[in-house]
Amino acid sequence: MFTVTVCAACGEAVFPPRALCPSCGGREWRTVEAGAGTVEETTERDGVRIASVRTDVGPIVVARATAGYAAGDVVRLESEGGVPVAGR
Amino acid sequence: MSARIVAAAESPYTRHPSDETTTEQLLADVFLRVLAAGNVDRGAVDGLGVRPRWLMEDTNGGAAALNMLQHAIRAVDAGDARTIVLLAGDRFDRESFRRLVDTYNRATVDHLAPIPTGGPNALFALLTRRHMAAHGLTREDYGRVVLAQRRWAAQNPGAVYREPLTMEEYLAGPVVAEPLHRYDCVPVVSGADAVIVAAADRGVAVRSVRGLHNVDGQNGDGLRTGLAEIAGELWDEAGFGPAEVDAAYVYDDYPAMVLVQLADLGFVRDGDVGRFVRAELERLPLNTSGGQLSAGQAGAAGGMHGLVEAVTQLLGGDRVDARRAVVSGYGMVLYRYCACTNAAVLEAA
Repeated sequence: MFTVTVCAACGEAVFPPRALCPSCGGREWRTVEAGAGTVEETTERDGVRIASVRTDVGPIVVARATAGYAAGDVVRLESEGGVPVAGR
Repeated sequence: MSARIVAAAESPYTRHPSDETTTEQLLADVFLRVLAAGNVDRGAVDGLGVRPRWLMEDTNGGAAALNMLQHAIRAVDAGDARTIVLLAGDRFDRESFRRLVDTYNRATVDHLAPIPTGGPNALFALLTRRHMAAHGLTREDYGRVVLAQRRWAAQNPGAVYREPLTMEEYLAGPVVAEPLHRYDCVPVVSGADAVIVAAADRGVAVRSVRGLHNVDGQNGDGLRTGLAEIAGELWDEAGFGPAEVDAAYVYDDYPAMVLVQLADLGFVRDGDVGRFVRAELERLPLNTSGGQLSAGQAGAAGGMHGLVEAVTQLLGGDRVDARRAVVSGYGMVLYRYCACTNAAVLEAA
């Protein structure tokens, strides 16, 4: 399950995690699942497909893509050691 | 007397440093070069040796040089020091690059290297695609930036790439990460850069210098840097605007970021980046050493390359007849793009 951090005080979702909330300065965090998103851009580097994905909970993440997606495609996000992997 | 930049120097860039070359030797070499260029006695330098009167280090990549310049100017004007040498250098080769990019910071180690992204090229490929979509740009538009800088590089014996580049050759460069091909990416080199800031009557005056870092906490789109927020006060303090500078030196890690910084600094009057790059870019002396895209990126020295070239030309260099210039810095990829930006407006005085 791919998760991002959400500030317990103000609800700001951020990724990667950080110590203090950039919106309110809070330091208490909870994690929420970011299980889906929309592909914004794609590229490929040394055979690895890479996509920037706007998650449904807010943050844009850099993900490994399992197929050749295009901008606008809706994808599911799974975690592989903390790294988002985009698939159908 | 007030703070002036009185000299600049560069240790020759090389793609293939010898096994004996060290970063320390490169820094020593450029130190001696910049003293000679400024005709400054080494005994005059505050902080030389082990009894520093003034000392700082800045490790913020492409923004480090102007951060140091900002501190050095203030230190001289405040009387904390009279003569400061700003040095940056790196023994940097392909293997150093590979090691660096996978361990750059915590976010890289935890969230990018395992993908694997293989360094910043893939990240800026994504950002370039976003820039293309936002402004209706094509690869040819980025090629115009690269070709313009390459034409300047022909005049720089130290540039890695000096031969003329045609649009066809640019477009046919090997793919790195679409839409980025070979000539969109900086050649990695070893080298060093330096300037001297001193209390002096003549030299290059820093009319204004400002920075704004981590402007959006990586929650933005990456196409607008902190420069957009500080440009107004930067030019106000300088007393003139982008239309009145003779040359621009923006941090050129990728052509898209050249256009982003020029737009943020106010060079794109109506916001139409496409029209600017097709109709106006050629008239603006830009990164007249060829920039990092042609001259090379010397690791930690990369941020100082543009400053050295700007000062060199303002002190009477023969590549461009310039009295006023702007230099910008852009550095530290926190996750999807860089967090640090700064700029200085310079005038020969």
